Amino acid sequence: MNASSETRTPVLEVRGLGVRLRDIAAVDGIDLTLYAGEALALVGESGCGKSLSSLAVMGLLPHVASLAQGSSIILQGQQLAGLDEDSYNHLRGNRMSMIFQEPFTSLNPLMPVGAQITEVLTVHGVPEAEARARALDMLSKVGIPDPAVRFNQFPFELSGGICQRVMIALALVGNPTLLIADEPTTALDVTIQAQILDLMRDLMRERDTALLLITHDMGVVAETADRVAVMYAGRIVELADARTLFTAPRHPYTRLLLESIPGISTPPKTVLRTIAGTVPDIRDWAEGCRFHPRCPFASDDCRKAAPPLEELPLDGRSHKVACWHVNKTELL
Amino acid sequence: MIVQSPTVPESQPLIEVRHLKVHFPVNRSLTGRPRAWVKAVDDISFSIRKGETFSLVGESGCGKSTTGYALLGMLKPTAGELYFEGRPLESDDEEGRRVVRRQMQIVFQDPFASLNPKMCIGESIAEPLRAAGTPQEKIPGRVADLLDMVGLHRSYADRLPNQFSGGQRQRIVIARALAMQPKLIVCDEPVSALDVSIRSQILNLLLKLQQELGISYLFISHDLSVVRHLSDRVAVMYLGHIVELAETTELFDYTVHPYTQALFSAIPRIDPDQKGKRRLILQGDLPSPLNPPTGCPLCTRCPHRLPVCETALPPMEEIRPGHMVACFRASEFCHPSART
Repeated sequence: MNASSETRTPVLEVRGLGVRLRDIAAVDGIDLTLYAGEALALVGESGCGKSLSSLAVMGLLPHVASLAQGSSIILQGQQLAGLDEDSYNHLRGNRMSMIFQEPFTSLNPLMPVGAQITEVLTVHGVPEAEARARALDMLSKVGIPDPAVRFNQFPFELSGGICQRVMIALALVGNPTLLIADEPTTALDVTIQAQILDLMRDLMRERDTALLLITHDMGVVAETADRVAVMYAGRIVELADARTLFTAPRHPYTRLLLESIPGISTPPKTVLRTIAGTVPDIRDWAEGCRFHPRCPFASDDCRKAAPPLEELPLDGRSHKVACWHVNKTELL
Repeated sequence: MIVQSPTVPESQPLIEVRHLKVHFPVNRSLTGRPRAWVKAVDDISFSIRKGETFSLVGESGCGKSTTGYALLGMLKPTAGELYFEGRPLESDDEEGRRVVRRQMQIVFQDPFASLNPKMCIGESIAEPLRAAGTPQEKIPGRVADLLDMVGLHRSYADRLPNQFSGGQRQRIVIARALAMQPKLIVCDEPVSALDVSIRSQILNLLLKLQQELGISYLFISHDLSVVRHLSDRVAVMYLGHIVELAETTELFDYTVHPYTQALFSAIPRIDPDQKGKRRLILQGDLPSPLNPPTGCPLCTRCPHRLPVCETALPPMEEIRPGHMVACFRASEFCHPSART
């Protein structure tokens, strides 16, 4: 976060967001602020609640999940928590939209892709002819060759990379201020992933769209995000700008996670750093700090109470960490 | 803890693959005659030395898994020869093949799909032992030893797979592969389905086992950071062909083939200094393997193509010691890359 963004009003402000799966708090009070033109990555392993958080913002929680009391989701000044389906329909595709991991399952298989993009605009009151023209224009903006031909094709006629470009066209055609991308490139091959990440970066910059990127791939985060929030077991454990997070992480989980990934400087065939234990099942989340069963610094404090996400005394940049032993973690 | 790769090639490699082709018939006519062929693997050759990790990398559909399956006899090669310790794999009688194939095992990507959910894990590990005729009284002890080797408690043998996490299941699968004391394990994306914090545990286990038992790995992966960490030599595949093959450090330091360069450059790096940096990006999609380009497989996407690339298949040539490249312009690209 730079100084100028402090003075701007945020596009999205999430306070105390909680999601309950029956009686379990799957997302346990997270705070996020997102400014125009900024890319914030929400990273974590499977089951940490990153996708549920994004679905909660979009008002797309599955039936077994519900928004916890006291959750606040403010999109450009408008409170979204508790909004009815009709009001949400006015927002989705228009002021906020989402890209999912699997392009094939996210597109309607029985409808030409052009018609699907046009529909996003017509449901928000754009006249049919104008909508078609804008949809076609969007198809060429996302770099699809022969957009006029593709316009009338069905998803099964297109490759995975092209389908994901269609998804991006679908998400951006309404000019949303907020785009949520949930593992947008995980299903794609790396050379196609590089094309899609570049495309997303260019379009976001051009339109000043705010991006909430959900991923588990630290490489994608490093290449795309301005700021990073690391989630573990339903809570944000560290929040910082990307450079700080990758060069000076302070939460033991973030530090160990980054070190366990072999990098350019890791000598080949040497023993890699590991995190003890396994990713806990949601039913087995620990009391207190949820990382303590796997943490080398775990003490009685960690078992008793969850550490708050607190600002580190650093000059200028914001760096928040939730750890009772934050002063020791550099020893790792 | 560094394992030295054998610098002097041994006289006899563990595995030798010569001109392997695996073609699948598709689009059969009413009479059952195929109208077209998918050339999943099209004339590749390589060898695997004793105790080394040989990696096949490439994007989905490039033929890397098919190569592994053909080696294990899970698929019948269309053409080519496979040798295990100098003995041809195909010409042996049925019994001879069984004995040889015991020495080659596989670990699949998805540990959830690789274990019988209704069979306790001790049984799963014991099954290959029984099939090989191990006396019943020796089996429980052997299973316990195998669990020890992969870092699981001996008492877990009578538990069902659903009591284990993904990482633990992958350990069980590795224990089962070790039961036959194999000389080669084909590892087909062994950590791709695991959470990041678990991957390094499994990679460490694979390294430890190789050190202790001298096993060779054929490591199939699209994750280049893992490949770089584990491998002695790497072959890069594209549309059924090997386009570049070299020792790991050589390949990463002197990347020659345009496809390898694009592949390496496309991998997102955990390095904030690289953020937003323009990469070498291949245009377009992977061509359909049903209708591959004539000539060089990369010619439809290659930024450096010449007219000759569209008509002739570039031969594999050794441009530096042990470094093979299939590209007509290899000599022009043979300079230290800026990537290191």
